Amino acid sequence: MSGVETRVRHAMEQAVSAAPAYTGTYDDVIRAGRARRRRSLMLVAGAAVTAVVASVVWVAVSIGGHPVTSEPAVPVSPPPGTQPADRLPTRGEAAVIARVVRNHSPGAFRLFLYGGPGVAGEISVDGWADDGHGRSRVYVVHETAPGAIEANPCRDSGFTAGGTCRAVRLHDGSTLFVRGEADTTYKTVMAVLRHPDGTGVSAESDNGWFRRLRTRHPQFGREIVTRAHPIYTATQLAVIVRAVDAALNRQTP
Amino acid sequence: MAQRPQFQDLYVARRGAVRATAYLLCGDWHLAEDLTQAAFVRMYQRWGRLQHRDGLEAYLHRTVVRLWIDETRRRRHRDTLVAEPPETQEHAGPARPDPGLLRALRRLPPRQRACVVLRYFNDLSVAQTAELLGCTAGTVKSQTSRALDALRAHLGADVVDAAETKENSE
Repeated sequence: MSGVETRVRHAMEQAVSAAPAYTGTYDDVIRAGRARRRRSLMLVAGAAVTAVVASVVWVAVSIGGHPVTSEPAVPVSPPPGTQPADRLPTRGEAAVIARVVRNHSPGAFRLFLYGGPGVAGEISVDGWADDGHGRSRVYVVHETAPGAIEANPCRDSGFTAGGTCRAVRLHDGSTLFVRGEADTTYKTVMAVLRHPDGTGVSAESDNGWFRRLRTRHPQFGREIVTRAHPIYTATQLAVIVRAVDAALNRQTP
Repeated sequence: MAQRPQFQDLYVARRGAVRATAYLLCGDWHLAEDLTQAAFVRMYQRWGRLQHRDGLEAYLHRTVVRLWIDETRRRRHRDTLVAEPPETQEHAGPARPDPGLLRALRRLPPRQRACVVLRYFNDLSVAQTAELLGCTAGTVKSQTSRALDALRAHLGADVVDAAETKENSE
């Protein structure tokens, strides 16, 4: 260590040793983070969504007011061979959410879901689904804090990211936002069910997944792209968020 | 598998260290805290993905450096040029830091200052600094070397030390 280096280090350590009290709060971070959360889901504004996806989303609009059925929401397309067993959370709201995702996915899908620690005001289930053609991230969040979901995500360019976005007012006063496939760093589809108080459920599916193993040199912030498209469509996610919301409401005494 | 960190625990544990880094970069405690809060907001936005990864502190430091560089770019366009950099608020402590050296540090270009802070305050290696700043190890070495030359010029000949080449051996 040279003289300059030593003096620089010493001066810097002294400079920060008399730091004033930290006045920012955790709540400030959470509030600001929630307000911008939808924007953070996409890193770059994406290309236009295909007409096929747009038409599928339009179907979601047309079914917006009808109750969710318990039938699988996606056509069953069993892959060749057998898949290993699912791994799902078994306790708490995470288990309820995971069970709904399971019930609204083809039986041939293998699901690997886990309840995330999340932060105050949300319960999340993260993981992936695999139809035999590549893992696809599944991320479902129950936002329990009033105001956590912005009033109109379709007006948020960060949320839409170049994809189509439809808002459907439901009979109970909630609004369903269905965002078709957006091609950003990776391809995503999303659906958000927002109650009038800003609570609700959101779901996202990507054309890749996040390796959960801890590594010495993680690919920081990068998703492993495994597929051409997310495993679920926006329409399917719309059905899932409504079913999750209904299941969680049934749990509430 | 190790327990994943809770966001709130991480915030409580690391906000002070992140703010210290930010302060050394910007020289203003208020701005440093704003940068720190903004870095945690960014982390919160990506928490669903970040929580599974190592290097969360590196992420915070990288974010705070980038936020600060962005801030310097914005200020460059709106601030009035003056002959000498204005004195920024410093809180008197029991051990007064070397004000001349800190002023010299603040005169460094942002990238050079970031290299010095990350290398000598955060104790990051050349490789870690390069990864965090998104540049090559060679760039970190050259930027650090230029920064030390500039600091040495401000400090005078009494601290000239032939051991400056140590970095090149890393």
